[in-house]
Amino acid sequence: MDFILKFNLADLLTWEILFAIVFGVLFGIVVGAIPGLGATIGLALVLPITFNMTSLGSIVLLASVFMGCEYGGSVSAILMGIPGTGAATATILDGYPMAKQGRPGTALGYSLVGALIGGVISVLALMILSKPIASLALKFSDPEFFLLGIIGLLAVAGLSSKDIFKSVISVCIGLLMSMVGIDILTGQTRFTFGTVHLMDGLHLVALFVGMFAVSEVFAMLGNDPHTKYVHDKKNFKVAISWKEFTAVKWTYLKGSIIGTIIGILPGVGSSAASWLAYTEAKSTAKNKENFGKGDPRGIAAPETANNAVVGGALIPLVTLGIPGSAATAVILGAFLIHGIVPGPASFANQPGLMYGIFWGLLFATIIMYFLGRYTTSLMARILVLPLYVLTPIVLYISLIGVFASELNVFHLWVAIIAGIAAFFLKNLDFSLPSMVLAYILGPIIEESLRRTLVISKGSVGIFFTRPASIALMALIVIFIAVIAYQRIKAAKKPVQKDLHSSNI
Amino acid sequence: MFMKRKMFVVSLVLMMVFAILTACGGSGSGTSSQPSNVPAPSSPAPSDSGQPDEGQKDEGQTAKENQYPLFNDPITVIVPLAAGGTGDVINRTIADIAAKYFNQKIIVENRPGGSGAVGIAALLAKPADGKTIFYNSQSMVVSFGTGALPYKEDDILPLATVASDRHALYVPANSPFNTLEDLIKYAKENPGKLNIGGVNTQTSAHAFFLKLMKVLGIEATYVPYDGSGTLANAVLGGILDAAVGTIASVSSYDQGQVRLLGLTFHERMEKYPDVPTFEELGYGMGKDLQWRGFFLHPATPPEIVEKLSIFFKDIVSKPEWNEYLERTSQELFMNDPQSFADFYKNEIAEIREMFGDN
Repeated sequence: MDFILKFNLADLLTWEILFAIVFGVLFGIVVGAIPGLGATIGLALVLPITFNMTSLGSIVLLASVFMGCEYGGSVSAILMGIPGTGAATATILDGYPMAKQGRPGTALGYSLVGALIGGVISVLALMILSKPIASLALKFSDPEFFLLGIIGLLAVAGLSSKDIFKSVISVCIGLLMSMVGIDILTGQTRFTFGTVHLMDGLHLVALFVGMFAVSEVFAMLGNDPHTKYVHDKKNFKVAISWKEFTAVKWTYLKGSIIGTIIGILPGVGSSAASWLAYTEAKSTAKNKENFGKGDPRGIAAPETANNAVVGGALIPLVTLGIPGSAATAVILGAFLIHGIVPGPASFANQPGLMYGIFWGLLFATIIMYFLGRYTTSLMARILVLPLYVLTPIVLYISLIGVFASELNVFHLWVAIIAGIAAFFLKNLDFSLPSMVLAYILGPIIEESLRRTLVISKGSVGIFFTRPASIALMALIVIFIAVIAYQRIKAAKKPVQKDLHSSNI
Repeated sequence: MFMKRKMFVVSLVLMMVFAILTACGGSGSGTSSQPSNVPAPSSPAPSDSGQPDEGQKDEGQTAKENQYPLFNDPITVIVPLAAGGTGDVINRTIADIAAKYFNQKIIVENRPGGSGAVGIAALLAKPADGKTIFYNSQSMVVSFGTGALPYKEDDILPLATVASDRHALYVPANSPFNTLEDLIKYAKENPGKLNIGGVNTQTSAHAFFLKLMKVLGIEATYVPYDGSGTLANAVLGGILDAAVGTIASVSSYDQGQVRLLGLTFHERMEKYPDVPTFEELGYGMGKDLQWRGFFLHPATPPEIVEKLSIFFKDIVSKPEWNEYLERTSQELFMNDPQSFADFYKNEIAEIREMFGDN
């Protein structure tokens, strides 16, 4: 804790660092908002700029871009129903309906405050708890990833209150989609129909943009083309009232913790974090009916989680030099380019640099809040457009976004077909969130289990000899018990027949 | 009212234009998005053999030298990997050096997918005029050898290699194996029990593992991970007995937490003076290296191939290249098209034999 006192904050007040923070955050928000571009591409684009900066400036710039991107994704998610990044997809579920109800500013406000809180909490964790968390994180390996994945899938049961069969089928469809591509353990291609474009699986951005944005375009076609979503100029202000904040403060806290933890675990990612946070918020909510229709908790949870991933992901990176994702790998690359190998040695030899990064990121998060308020309220004005203008714009930007992410026309077809299929599935009351969660968790579950069994030579006993596994299995048992108890209690209550509420 | 609506439309159009520009723009070492079915703008007719390029004349000097810039149009390097990793950064470094010393603009185009197949397709769709180059590493050799690609090795022309990275076998610092011999002894007494991790299957790490097993005469289980990050986590967490990987990936997280048991190639490395090579321990692995290099369209005219080869030789002679190699724990490994082609074909034949007929 002594770094708080030892670090000279004036070291941060150079033009270079200020530029790094302000430009980084703005660039991050814009790149995140453009569908199809995400943190990884954003970081790769600014990497050349960092070659000529000092080491502190480079890392602060990259970290700021990372933080800004995770917020930026929610902008297009809320305003147009297009996920700007994979992680922002969960935000669409409640953010977009709220915007359509004429309150885009409030929706963006929930998201921005969430980004601020998630970012700050995770950076604080980075500052204070790095070393103990990092050594704890090393205890988590394949057996534990498998169990975590299972917990994630179980949470789906908490997502839906009505038709459990359709939820299960949705989960199965999601798992099936995740199996497309080369199997890592045998090198065999699965479900690729002989085309090289499917060898790496169904592209995540194409799939999500298709399922949510393209299907939404079809839904928009069913409405009166002269509808405008927002009439009142007041609603562009990106802010939430104090009362609104206190109503969701626990959601923010839980989401931040979930995001930070997931960020620490390598290979899981911000998409999983935001969906798990959303799932958790919905499962444990007292009144779930508003989820999917503009419930503030449905925006608060995913948005705070995906920004919390930034701080969490930096923990294994700076303490052990382990990059947990492609985005952190770029940041590691920047470290190496400046001749710094992150880890215990870098803390001992260059504490000023390492602590400077933490403080710099903290300031960047706070500045992101202010910059976000003013820039995104301008972007929100797009919703004044009547539907006959908005619909083609949404379709156009979605497809450009999908193309931009991989420069591959094949993925456009994936997006369009996914969109058509999702439109029908949504109207038939299947659960798209369950499908997405299963799609994200599928590879984690499958690969971790198979790798575990390779390592243990087929013995299941490995789950019982590792302390972390035992803890997780106990958690699963408790979880199942709680869900079963809730269902039994619900079955005993007189059932309110509501023919109009839909499934998720 | 009318003015307001007009302002909205204008700002909207600007946003869309910005979106398009960011997605499709790119200059210098940014990412570019030229779709593969659009011919490269302002390029001379494809069958340009025998005609010198603009601004480029070989004036019959005895020592072949290039006049720079090589072409007035930018050179596009197709990188079959996502932006940001080692394979991507190396190309951006080259682009920087080219711009600084030779006034030659190089654009990096990321086309990941299909273990390189998407990148090769993009290369072959462009004209064979030397303005499109394809980057890859020894992993490509393995992909060809295992039959994972819908292409044969003659579908691309080797141009030059620029850097190499050695393979190493390593264990966590608290492992009971202090030397390679300890590991071999344990493996011989317990065949198949050792868990050795690596990145993906049918990659250069996997190929190195198989060769190592054959040369050391032991049996162990290969555990593939999908990235060096998750592999590092497994090694440091102690769930694996050992791992194989390149020096660059290990040194990025090595803080005394891993112990290298052996390196490939012939001499010890300056950075790791205490680590023996497999060769000196009596287990010759040959030249096994994760080399990184460039390929061309097979129909590229020989004079252009030669000019590009000289270009790369000039690039790697610059001090910035040396600095880059230092920082990333790689070594200079310069080959011209002929020697490259030779060992490239040999390696593929070796891999083909190792993986059987897939």
